[in-house]
Amino acid sequence: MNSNKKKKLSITIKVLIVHMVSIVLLDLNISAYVKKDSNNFDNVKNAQFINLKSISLEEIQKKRALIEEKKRKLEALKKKRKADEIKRKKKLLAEKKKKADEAKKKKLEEEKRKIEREKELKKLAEEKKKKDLKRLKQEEEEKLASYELEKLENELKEIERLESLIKQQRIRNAQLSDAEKRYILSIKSKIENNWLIPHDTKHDKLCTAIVNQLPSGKITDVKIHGCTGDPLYIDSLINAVWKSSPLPVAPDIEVYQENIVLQFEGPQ
Amino acid sequence: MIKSIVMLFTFIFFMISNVSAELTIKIQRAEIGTLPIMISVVGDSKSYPAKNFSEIIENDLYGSGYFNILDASTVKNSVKNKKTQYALWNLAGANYFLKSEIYSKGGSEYIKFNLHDVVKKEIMFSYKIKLTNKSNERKIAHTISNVIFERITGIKGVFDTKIAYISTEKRPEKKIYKLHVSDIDGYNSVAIYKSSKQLMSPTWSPDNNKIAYVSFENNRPEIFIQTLASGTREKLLNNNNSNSAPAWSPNGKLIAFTSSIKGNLEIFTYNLVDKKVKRITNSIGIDTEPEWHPSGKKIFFTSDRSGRPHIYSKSIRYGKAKRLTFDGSYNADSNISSDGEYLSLVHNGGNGHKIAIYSLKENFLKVISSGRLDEAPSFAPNNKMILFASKKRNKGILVATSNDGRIRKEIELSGEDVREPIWSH
Repeated sequence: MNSNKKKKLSITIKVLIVHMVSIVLLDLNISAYVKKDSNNFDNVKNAQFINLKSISLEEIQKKRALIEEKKRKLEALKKKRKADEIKRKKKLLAEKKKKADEAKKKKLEEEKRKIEREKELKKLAEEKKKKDLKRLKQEEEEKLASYELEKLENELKEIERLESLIKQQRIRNAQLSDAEKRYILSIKSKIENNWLIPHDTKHDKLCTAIVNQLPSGKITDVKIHGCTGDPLYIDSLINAVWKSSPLPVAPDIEVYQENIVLQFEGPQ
Repeated sequence: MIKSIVMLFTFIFFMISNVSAELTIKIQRAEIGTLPIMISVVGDSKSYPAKNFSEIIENDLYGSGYFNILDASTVKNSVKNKKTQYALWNLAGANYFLKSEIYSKGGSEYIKFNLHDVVKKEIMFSYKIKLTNKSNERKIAHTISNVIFERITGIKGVFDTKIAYISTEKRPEKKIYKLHVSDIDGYNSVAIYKSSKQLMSPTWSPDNNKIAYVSFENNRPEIFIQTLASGTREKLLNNNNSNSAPAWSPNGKLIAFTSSIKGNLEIFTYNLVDKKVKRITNSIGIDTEPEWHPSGKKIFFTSDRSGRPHIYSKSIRYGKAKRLTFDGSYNADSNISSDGEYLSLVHNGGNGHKIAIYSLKENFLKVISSGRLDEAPSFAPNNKMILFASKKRNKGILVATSNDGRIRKEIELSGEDVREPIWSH
């Protein structure tokens, strides 16, 4: 029983396959027609009809019905396609519109952006200006700083120069020349000869006088330092110095000094 | 930063100024002496010869011991050029030059003084005084001396102060004793009291308005106080004791004096306000010649309690007397300097009575006179001079000396026999 059923089912399947193949073939033709120019359409039709003559009527009718159906289907399809087209077109349009809108939007946005950019640019320009100003200021400050640095350096140089001068003088002092020794002795004896202390005068152990003189020996100024004694004693120092003006002239201009320090040691 | 730089620079320049003035010279030898000065007064007037002024001033300044008077006649006063003037004076050796002129203007006479510092080439002071018929030329000259002395030495001048002294005039039948007040050079002498009996021990009140002294007018020593302006006299104590050697306390309220108690001399004070007498000393020997310390808390006196006369000091309130002098056989009649540092006294170290200075601080004695019968020393108010009595050909004379005895100057007193001089305050 089972084998019978299987036979029947295979025949049905065979018939079904034949039908489907024919439908596919037909469908292929239609699609070829659809795809081909309308001029070529009739030829294909004719050719089909010729082929159909060889087929039974029943079959032709069947086929016609099929074709009709297919035509309908095609028509429907066409309709559908048209509708689809419209739909598509509509869609396209919509899309276009959308695109346009978007473009517009974009444009607007761009404009907006442009404005913003301009704003930004303006801002940037301002910032640049500010920056420039700041930079200028900084530059100015740097210049000033460098100027001051230069000044300080110059001052330092001057100090160093003076220091070296002092050193030189010290070295020179250490090597008192004979001329200098003679010079000192001549000044010493002249002032000592002119130093007169009145009787009964109290005096300090040590009083210093700073004397300014010209190269001629003429005294221009006498200042007493660290002397806190009898005014008569202080006066005796000042008188001793002034009375010795002009001081002995230096034997060599090298040993001449504008300022001379006199250390008065009061006698016991 | 800048500040520190400036400071650094100041420091450096200070160093430089010190260093560049590196020629340091020690001055060790000096002459100790007197200051050379020239006094020039020109332009005679009818009543005031220029020479009088210059002589008085020269005399004053020389006597102070501080000045060496150079002869101004070697330098003409007529040089007008300032520079030449100073150069000339400097060449003549003067440190100071007093240029003075008497001149008439609008019917009046004036005397003009300029003191020049020859060394510094500047005028130290200028003075102009109008001379009238009643002008005391000596007073004017002494005032000028004072200003010169003060400006140059910084020490107060004493040339316009007074001295008091006793003179004795020997007449064939009797002696006349006089108490005098005069200028320090003996001029303008006025006898403020005369007596046929002995006068002794004059002493000035602190304000110089009164003089206390001892008079024997009642045949025993009594103390009298005489007011100079009015000439009124009053006896200090109305008792039967012998009272002598008065000394005014620095505040003028007390008078210390010597009085005899049972034949022994002791020192007392008399209070001029409440009239009370208080005994100060009590010893078996003679205590006399009281002298007040400037504080008014202590007296110095002469006592022979050790067998020989010596100087002692004692508080007027309590405590024991302290012997001060040990040198020589005789130390008496002390007079204290106004700064309380020195006593001038009569000292005998075996060579007669001489004037000596005793340092209360350092306890040493220095003889400053050379006579054999010198006595009654008294300090000038500025302590730089000492006045004392001496003898010359058996006659009493007065001598003013610098406080180191270097300058000795007799005061001319018209040949009288004088003694017991005392310098006013």
